[in-house]
Amino acid sequence: MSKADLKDYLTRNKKLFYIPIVILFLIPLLPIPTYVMHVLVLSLLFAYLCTSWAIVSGFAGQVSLGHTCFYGIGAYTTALLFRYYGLTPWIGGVIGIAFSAVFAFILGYACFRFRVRGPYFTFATLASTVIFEGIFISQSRITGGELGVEMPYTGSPLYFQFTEKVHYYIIILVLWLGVLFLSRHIQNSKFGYYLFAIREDEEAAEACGINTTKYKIFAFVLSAALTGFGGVFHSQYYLYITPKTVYGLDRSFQISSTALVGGSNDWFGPSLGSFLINPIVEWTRATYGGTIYTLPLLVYGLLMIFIGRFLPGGVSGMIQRGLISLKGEKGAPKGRSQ
Amino acid sequence: MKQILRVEGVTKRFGGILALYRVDLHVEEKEILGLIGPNGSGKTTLINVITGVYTPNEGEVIYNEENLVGLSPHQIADMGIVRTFQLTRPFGNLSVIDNVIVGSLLKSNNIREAREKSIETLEMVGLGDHLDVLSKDLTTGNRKRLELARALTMEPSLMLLDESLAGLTSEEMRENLALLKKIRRERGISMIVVEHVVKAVMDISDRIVVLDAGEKIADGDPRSIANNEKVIEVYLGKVI
Amino acid sequence: MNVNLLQGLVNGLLAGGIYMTIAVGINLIYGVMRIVNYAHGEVLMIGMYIAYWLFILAGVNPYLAIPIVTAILFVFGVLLQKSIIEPVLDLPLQRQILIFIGLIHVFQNSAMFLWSPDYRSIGVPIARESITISFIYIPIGKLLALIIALASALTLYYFLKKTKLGKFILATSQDPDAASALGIDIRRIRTLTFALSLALTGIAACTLSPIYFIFPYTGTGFNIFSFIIITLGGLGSYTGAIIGSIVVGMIESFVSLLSDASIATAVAFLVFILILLFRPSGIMGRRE
Repeated sequence: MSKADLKDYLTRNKKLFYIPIVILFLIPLLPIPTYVMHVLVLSLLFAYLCTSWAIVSGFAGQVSLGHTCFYGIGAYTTALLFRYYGLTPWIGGVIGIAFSAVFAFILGYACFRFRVRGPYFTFATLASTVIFEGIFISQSRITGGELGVEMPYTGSPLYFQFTEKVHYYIIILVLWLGVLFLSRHIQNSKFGYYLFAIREDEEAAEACGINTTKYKIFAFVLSAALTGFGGVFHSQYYLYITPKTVYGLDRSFQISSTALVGGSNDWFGPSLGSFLINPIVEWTRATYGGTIYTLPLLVYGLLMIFIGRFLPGGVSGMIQRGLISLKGEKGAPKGRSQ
Repeated sequence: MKQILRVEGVTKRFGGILALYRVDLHVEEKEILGLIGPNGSGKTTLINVITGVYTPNEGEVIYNEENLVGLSPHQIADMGIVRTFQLTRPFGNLSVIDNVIVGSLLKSNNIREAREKSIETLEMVGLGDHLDVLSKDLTTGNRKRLELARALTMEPSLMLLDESLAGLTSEEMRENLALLKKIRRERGISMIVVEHVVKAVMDISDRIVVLDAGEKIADGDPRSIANNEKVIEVYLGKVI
Repeated sequence: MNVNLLQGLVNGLLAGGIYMTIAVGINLIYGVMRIVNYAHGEVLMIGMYIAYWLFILAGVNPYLAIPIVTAILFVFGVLLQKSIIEPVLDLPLQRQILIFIGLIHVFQNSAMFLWSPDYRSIGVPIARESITISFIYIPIGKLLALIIALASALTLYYFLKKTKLGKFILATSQDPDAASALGIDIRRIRTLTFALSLALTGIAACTLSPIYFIFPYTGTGFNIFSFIIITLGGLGSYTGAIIGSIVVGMIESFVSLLSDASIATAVAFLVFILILLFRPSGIMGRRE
């Protein structure tokens, strides 16, 4: 096959990308057991969160290990406003996003304004989610403490509640596709290029005329807002939230590691990680439980070490490099993946 | 000739170390100013002061009637003063073309335009075959060219080149020097060229400023600098 | 003076002593290698298990086991540093973090697999005792932990400032290139520092094993507190880690003492935000 034929094939292939998307929308028509639908919803939510995380931590290289703090802000804002004021989560959710954005701005400004080192930002995000968890546990009069907040079931779409899991599925599917296309758009835009430059070498980026503080804060606030809305979805899906489930470090690390394994430098990497890893983890947990279930996690840990050490850009980086050798070209991936 | 940059009385201290002391210099339009001096004489520090990386303790940096002191590096770059680094700093994990696109995005707002401009500039500096190479895999010589290309796409009026010839073979040096002359000829960009390779500086500069231990000790055309006693002394008999 | 206030102060000091060694250890590694060991709590967990098994199988008192545990963790540190840490020092932050999360998974789940999730404890009679000085209640186990933590912090300080090797470590942390130019083998220094930090954790493991339950996920709690301590006290700052530990210990103790815990945590949060905004690199941190 000549190069021209290959190029032709791959251009035609691009249209094939839309087929899986159509399939995803058609899934609700099939008779799928509720449990499978549940796993699908969770995987999509996770893919959504990982992709949002990667905007600031992958593209811009500002690694946040406490991203769940925005998840929790979104979830609790919605839940509490609904529980105490009967405010519909559609509006409560917007407020939740706003709060997430504001806190991200404060945190980002504090960390980036004074040119403090990168690892320090990571610590600040970690500390934030832990402290939020502590606050929401201790302020039990308002937040219900460790037991969390339970929301009355109305089943009414006016209140962002649905009777069928399928409806949640459609919503999270749309959200995920939205963030996916947003991420791809960013990667190929001036904003994205500037974030990659900041990730690679901040001082050199400044020398290229990039206002690094402004872009870092913007990426962080955007990522936080998106994550916050994920929290809104969570609270409406489960109708029950606790500090541990929404602010927990476990979930935060899970988001980060899944995105990194899948490849946080590409728009599709984190989703890849989520769809590859999540179902396996959930399935193992369901099938085994008990001590045996720790072995797969142990292997997963070793896999993480291996990928971190030997596979730059995670799985998506590997795919990008593979695509290049397939095309018979040499050199770096055009998708700025590394 | 109009002065494009004026450095007046710049002093910079780092704790107890006096890196620059009451340095005055100016650059005229379309001029190539050589900046030489022994190691540690403050050349890179001066570049850092001009580009806003360091804030001087005293003095002013006047560009287009404006004092640059206190502005941040990205603002100064946006105003038209662009620098390269002594130890090259490419965006390592980005390809050559992507590196330059980052630079050209300063003046172009869409990627397509930036890309076209970048390809053009890369071809001019001789990296047209290396567009998709990972920039951290480049040789030193090519890295210098990459930085040059990246700087050029930012459409500067003044370029500060920090040891752009260091680590090059004599063949590469000749090529780069010719390139710089071509750039000045075709684009009318003024330059401050910091160099250790004295012969090259003599060749390319219209005028030379010599620093020693943070102070300016000479300022004039290459011939008079070559015959300047203080300069010769400072270089300890180096063949000029 | 109000007895409650005094008790709160004492509790705070004791709590600070518990986290001090870990925070110092993380800062030590960061100072020299510019990398944060996110799995430090898990190292503590491993140390606690070693102390536990020494106690159960050989009847060794955990306080006396300190030399053994520190030696084991030192060797472990050397192996870990050379095999996994050293090669990744130049890699981008994202890849390093993935590796550390992987290490956490490996350590936690190995412990789960080998020793089950059961909570274990070491019963050392003296650690369970307490003394009361004019209405102030001081548990001996925690007091010993504090004293030993302070002693090791001081010894480390002396080692760093006064011995040749210690000065090499300080030099490397200040300016690796200059240190290397002076003839210091910085690779060896890095291995030494990492191993030393883990060994230090071994001391804490021994003193904490009689007071805390030992189980595979116990490291997470310590990690969390160390992260907050380092945020407040500054990354890479030795004194910051010590001061930060005391501050966090105080906050923790007042939270549990005050009748309205919610106010205390809200205040703590405010303090945290204020320090971030006005001293962004922590109380003592370096602004680089």
